[in-house]
Amino acid sequence: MASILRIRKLCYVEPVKCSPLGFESFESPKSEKEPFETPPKVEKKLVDEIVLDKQKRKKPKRGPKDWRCVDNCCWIIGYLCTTWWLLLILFHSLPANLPGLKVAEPPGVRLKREGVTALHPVVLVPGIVTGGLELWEGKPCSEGLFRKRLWGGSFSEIFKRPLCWLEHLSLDNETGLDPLGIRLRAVPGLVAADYFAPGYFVWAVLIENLAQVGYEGKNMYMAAYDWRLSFQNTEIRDQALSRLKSKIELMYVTNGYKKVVVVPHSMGVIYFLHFLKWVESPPPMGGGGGPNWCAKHIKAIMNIGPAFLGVPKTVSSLLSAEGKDVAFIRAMAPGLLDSELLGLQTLEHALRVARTWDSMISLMPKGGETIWGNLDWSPEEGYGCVSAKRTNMQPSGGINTNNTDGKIDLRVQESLKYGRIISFGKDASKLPSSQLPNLGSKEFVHSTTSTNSNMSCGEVMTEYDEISRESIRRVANNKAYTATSLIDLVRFVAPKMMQRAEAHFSHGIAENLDDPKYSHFKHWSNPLETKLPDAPDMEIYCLYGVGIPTERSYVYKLSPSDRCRSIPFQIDSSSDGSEDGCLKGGVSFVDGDESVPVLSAGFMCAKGWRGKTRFNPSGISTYVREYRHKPPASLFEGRGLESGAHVDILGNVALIEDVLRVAAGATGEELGGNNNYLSTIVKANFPPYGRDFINHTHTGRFCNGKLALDLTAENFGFTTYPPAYLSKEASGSNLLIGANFASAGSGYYEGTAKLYETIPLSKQLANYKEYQKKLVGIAGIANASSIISGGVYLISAGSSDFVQNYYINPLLYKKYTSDQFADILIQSYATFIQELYGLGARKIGVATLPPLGCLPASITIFGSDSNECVAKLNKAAVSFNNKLNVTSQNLQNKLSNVTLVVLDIYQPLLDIVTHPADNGFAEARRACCGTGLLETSYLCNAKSPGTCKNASQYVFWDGYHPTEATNQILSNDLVIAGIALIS
Amino acid sequence: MLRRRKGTEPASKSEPPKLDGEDDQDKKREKERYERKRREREFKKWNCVDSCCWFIGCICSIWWFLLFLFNAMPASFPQYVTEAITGPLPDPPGVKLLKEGLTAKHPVVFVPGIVTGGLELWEGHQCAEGLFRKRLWGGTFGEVYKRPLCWVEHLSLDNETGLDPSGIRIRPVSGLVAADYFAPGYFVWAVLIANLARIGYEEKNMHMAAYDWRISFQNTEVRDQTLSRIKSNIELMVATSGGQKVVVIPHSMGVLYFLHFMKWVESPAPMGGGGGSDWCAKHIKAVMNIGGPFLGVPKAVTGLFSAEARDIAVARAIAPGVLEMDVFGLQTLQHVMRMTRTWDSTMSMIPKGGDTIWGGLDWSPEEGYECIAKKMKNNDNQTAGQNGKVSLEKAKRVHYGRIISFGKDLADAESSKIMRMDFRGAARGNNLANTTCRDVWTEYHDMGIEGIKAVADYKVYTAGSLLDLLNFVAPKMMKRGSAHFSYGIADNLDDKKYEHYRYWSNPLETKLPNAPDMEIFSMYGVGVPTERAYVYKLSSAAECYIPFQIDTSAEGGQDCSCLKGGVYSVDGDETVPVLSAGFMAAKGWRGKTRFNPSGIGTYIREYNHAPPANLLEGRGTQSGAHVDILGNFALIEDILRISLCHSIIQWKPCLLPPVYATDGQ
Repeated sequence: MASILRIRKLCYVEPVKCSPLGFESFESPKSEKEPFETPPKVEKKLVDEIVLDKQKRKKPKRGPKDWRCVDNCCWIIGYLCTTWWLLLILFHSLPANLPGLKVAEPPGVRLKREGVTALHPVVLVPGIVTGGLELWEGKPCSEGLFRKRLWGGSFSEIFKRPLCWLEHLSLDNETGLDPLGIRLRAVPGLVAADYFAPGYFVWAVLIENLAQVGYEGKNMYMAAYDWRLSFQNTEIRDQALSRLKSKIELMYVTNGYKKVVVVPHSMGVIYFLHFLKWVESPPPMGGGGGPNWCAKHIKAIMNIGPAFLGVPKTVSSLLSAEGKDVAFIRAMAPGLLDSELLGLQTLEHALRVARTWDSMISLMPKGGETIWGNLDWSPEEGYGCVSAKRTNMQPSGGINTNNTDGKIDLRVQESLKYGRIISFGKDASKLPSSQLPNLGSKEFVHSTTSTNSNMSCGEVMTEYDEISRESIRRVANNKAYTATSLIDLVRFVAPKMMQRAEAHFSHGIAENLDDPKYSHFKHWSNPLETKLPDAPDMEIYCLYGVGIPTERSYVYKLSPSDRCRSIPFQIDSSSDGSEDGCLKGGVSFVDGDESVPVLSAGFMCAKGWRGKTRFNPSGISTYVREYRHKPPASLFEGRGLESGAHVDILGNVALIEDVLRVAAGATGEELGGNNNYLSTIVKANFPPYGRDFINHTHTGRFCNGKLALDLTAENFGFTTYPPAYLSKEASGSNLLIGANFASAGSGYYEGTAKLYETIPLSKQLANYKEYQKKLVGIAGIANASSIISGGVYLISAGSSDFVQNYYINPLLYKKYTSDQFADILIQSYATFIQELYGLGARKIGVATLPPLGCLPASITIFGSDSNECVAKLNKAAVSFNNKLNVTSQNLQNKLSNVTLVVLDIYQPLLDIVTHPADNGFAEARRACCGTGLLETSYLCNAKSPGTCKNASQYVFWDGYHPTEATNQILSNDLVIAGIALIS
Repeated sequence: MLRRRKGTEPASKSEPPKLDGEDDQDKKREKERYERKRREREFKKWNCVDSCCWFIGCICSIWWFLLFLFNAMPASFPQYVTEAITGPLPDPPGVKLLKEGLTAKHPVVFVPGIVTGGLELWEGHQCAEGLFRKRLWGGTFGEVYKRPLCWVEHLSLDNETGLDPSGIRIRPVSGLVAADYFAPGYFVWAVLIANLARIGYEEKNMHMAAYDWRISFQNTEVRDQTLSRIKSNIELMVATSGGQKVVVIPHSMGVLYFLHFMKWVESPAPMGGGGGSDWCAKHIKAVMNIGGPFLGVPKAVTGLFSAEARDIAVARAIAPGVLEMDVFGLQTLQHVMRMTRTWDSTMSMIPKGGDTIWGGLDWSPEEGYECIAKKMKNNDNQTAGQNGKVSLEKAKRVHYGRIISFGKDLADAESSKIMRMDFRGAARGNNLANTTCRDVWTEYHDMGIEGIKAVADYKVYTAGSLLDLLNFVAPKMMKRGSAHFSYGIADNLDDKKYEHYRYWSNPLETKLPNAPDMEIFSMYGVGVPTERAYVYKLSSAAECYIPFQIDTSAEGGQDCSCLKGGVYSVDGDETVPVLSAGFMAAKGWRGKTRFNPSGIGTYIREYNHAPPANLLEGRGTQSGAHVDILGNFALIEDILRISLCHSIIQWKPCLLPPVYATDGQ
């Protein structure tokens, strides 16, 4: 459109400028006269000219000459305006639905057709920064802004009177409440957070979809609160918690005694956690609702993008106001911040304002090193860059150990130490912990003289001014800070703020929750220091996006201290990681929803509260849903219908559908429990996985130690383990002993690998071909072919196909019976063996399926409360194994000179599970790791409360995988069958 | 541009050689011709579109420039100008009281009246696409112009149930924004809110009890649980403000709504709120009724009868010219009528108390008094000194009791001379509407000529017979309405039947709650002519028309300035006559009466209307008009003082005219 406009403009502008110009150049002077005047006679030419000139100068008329400057401008503006209006009218008169433009049907409309209607009242709890704030009383500089939004909306005041704006948004430094003479209050009602700024929706899409199934003002409530205050202060100043309580009670009564469904987002999640404790606690500290208030009034809490355990980026914004988007201020005027434009010291101002907001402290990482990792390990180690890598490069760093189902992506190169949330200098982020200077208490002692605070330095006062440069240097001296020592660091740099805020928030992890100190409100918003209410019928959901790199730790440096009163630290944006791309611009990323890492969002639902734990004494059921991020497909989709980003996820159709269904009465089980969505990525590269393996290095195997096939190999006489093919070790002579091509989470069925983004069989085969070529290069043709034909090939696959794909994937189980699906797998197996045979393999061992129904995860998911093995799954496994035997026999007959041995692990494992005591085990149902019902990878964290100490007494390590002790027994059985292979 | 210029140069260069080779005469002629051509071309090119563009551009630029200047202007600039012209302005009451050191104490509840509250769309038909959660009522009313029929369709309620039509959900806007401004720049509660905020009020101790003002009071509870929400909110505010009782400030129809609430909340469930018999005593400190139509307003009748009330339907006020015409074939008036007739709430304001209150054929409480308001402006010494002493000799006595009369003569005639034919038994006649009218359906289309004639033949209607009239012309609507409202006057309030909710909003058929410490204030404007009775005529109309209309040609002339354009006016606040606004507090509830068994104290304050002194004052700080009174400084100060309750102000004794004291009926 713009281009068309410009061309037309050219055409019309033309005559204005051209015609007089043209005339001047070649006509006699007479022709310059205005066309409105009568042409003067030739004789009076000169005189006339003079007269005319004078006339022109004196009273400019609308002659072609005078159409030059201002008029042209006016003309152009008028033209543009007119065109603009015309287009606007056209646009408005367009039918809302252009025939060519098909807008996807919103989930609300679809569900309404399915008969879903409003049932349970819904409470929306917005998070930090998304809620609007309006002015009720202000200083003279804010005149005319009464009841206008200072936060949210158009933000026009930032540009008009920035200092005034900042002054009004700040809170009192001492009390954390209103400064004198300023009252800024949360906007009430749905308008508080439906749109953050014009066109930038927050809750609007969800609200609209809820309305489509019948929700309206009477059964939908936005629990708006002043997100700058500490949670308890919202009650003290505004009675926000009391209002919320009263609103919930009212909606409960007026909607026919239907319990409410609460939908908190981001920080609203911990705000509501605080509310849950507050409402049942006795007054004056609490709301006095009695011990069964929650059980009576709340049906479900659907936490969206929950920041349960804090967000690392809070730390950076408190240290140096550099959080990427917690402070939207930066995002709005990124260039301004660093320049000292207008002498405003924008960054310092932002820091000063943000530091008066107590709520920021609620988002500091909680649980200390137990959760977030220490100097040497972190739960995400080696894992974090997967998502980043998906976009950048192939999974080249991973290696694949040849073996069972326990497939793995073993990362050998140095992994990022995510546990070091803040490190000063890139070196400090990498050094082994022994070389790091110890943190002593003396670092945090202030040197008494605040030498550098002179009065000439502007008016911006952050607490940095009271700290001497020297002690800042000492704090920074090549050190790294973990989640625990971080708190000390923040306490040191901002003592006043922390003193204020720590009266309201706590960041620890409780061992004994019955300790009376935990009844203080400062623990209420920390899920690791409170019990959930006694409400066994309640449901808790964790709904969050994955697949976006999310800030996790930072590399800092001292900023050049030339400016007075500047912030002494800044993110070292020059430090970039190596090839894996996890460290970028001084920030290391893990998987998450752009703001909250998966660890913080998912841990409580997946582990901390799963089953009856000390944090969840009444056994409230928890459900986890992960929404994989997909950027919008086209421009018309706006911010995407399948986004996983922190705020945009509120427009995610899958999430909206889940919320609507629960609001309309569905339970978590009816939604499909955890099955459909538990894609918590199948990777296992961190402790406690591998904690009992040699050298205690984690290997990526899904077990605490060696896998059955490792042991089998050992039994066969191998002393070393074949290296993973894609690793660096898999080169040179190492290759002579073989290699591991397996990948966790893949199977005979190509779709399974696709589902978990692991390496499918076809690709493994290609890798093997490549391996053969290398082998020829190393050993020569003759040796190579003898290695190839003499080598033993072990295959173990299939259980992922069933447990992690078929049974939870409606696309499959609705289409095929388990028998048909087994046939498909067997078909794939047969093809695979023939291809392997074609490549020269002659000794092949194939493991059968284990008793699928006895895996702890299967019992949890499919067992419908009974504690027995799931017969249906075991039957499917038996049937598959029979087919495997028959097919193998056929192949054996068909292919000449091949030894194809089926290694049965079904029966031995079944024996162990059904008679654990006979084999020296104490526990066969629960797994060692945590509750052991569903957990894999992430959720099995070395220090997680609940991980067993004596793994050898357990049959299962996690929800899917046996312990080393079990594998030992299995491998003994395998040896007998495998003798044929080595003979 | 550059490219184009280059392109033209060679083209024009081809001309000079031609000029060179010719003699002077030719040259001149040629030149002239050329010049003329060029001029023509330029005129053609420049005069029309381009001048327009230039003009628009100029205006836009100037506009932007001014806008920029305006924005760059310090916020206090207008005040400087005003003060320079008029001298220092009085402090707003909030500032004044703040200087006295007073701060917020009692929580405050606002109850807005009819039409002033915003309504927004939650579910609509196809034509309303894109309007989700946009205001259909209140705000800019942009949609009225864009898609009028769609708008009317959505704002109408179901003809049978008085609730939502299927597929349409319109809900009241909630929060203070519901009625702070009715349209941009047209304040309703905003000034009062701003003043309360100055002395420390904020959202937590101020509540706007917004409700859907279109549906009947009990239906707001049935459909939206609005009454329950108000109850819960009041309880919450009392609890969170340390046990301070609330001060309720209803305005206009909100007054009746809150009357209904007070009965509802103490009545047992399921019909009531089950708050117990001392709920009001425990939670309410004072009810400060502003411009309350306790006994109804006459213009509600004409609104229902012929959609001609002057401002009860603001829709008319918005586009007064359009209404009468049949522009676009839209039959605007009929549409408005059909829409407003589905609004049950309008029936809550039909005059109550019948002839006892509003006067019969021969007398009315206002007789002989009424024109003072006008005369004060015109020539006030004419009746000065006659106050209260009505000279019966005066021929031009106005029969206000005759709320509707057909023809000016009948309005003036003595009652004995009026020949009336009873319409009640008359046949309604055959349906005379043909199918072309069907899309605009008012109940008049069910009536035949005979019915219409019968109505006109009865000639004169008083408050009592009005109800029969409405029952006759709109039986469906009245059937719906009479399930929710009653217009009588009770003799024995202990009668069981008065426990039904239809009586709750009629102060003459309910007792006030048992709350002796509560206080009831009636605050209203006086000094503005207010509609009281009408002269009607049959409209000369085609079949699709509303058969009756106000006879705008009926003028009182010199003798009776009260009659203008077919409307007799009395003193009041432009909408509510003094009688309706003041009677209950001045008499019906004064002391321990049967309507007020516990002897709740009542107070009256009248605010004499003074138009704004100059343009800068906006709608005036001393206005007594129905809505503008919410910006009246004196009223605001009174409200603030009551809410702060640091000292009960001295309330002036009742200013009602003596004639009220004389009615013995």
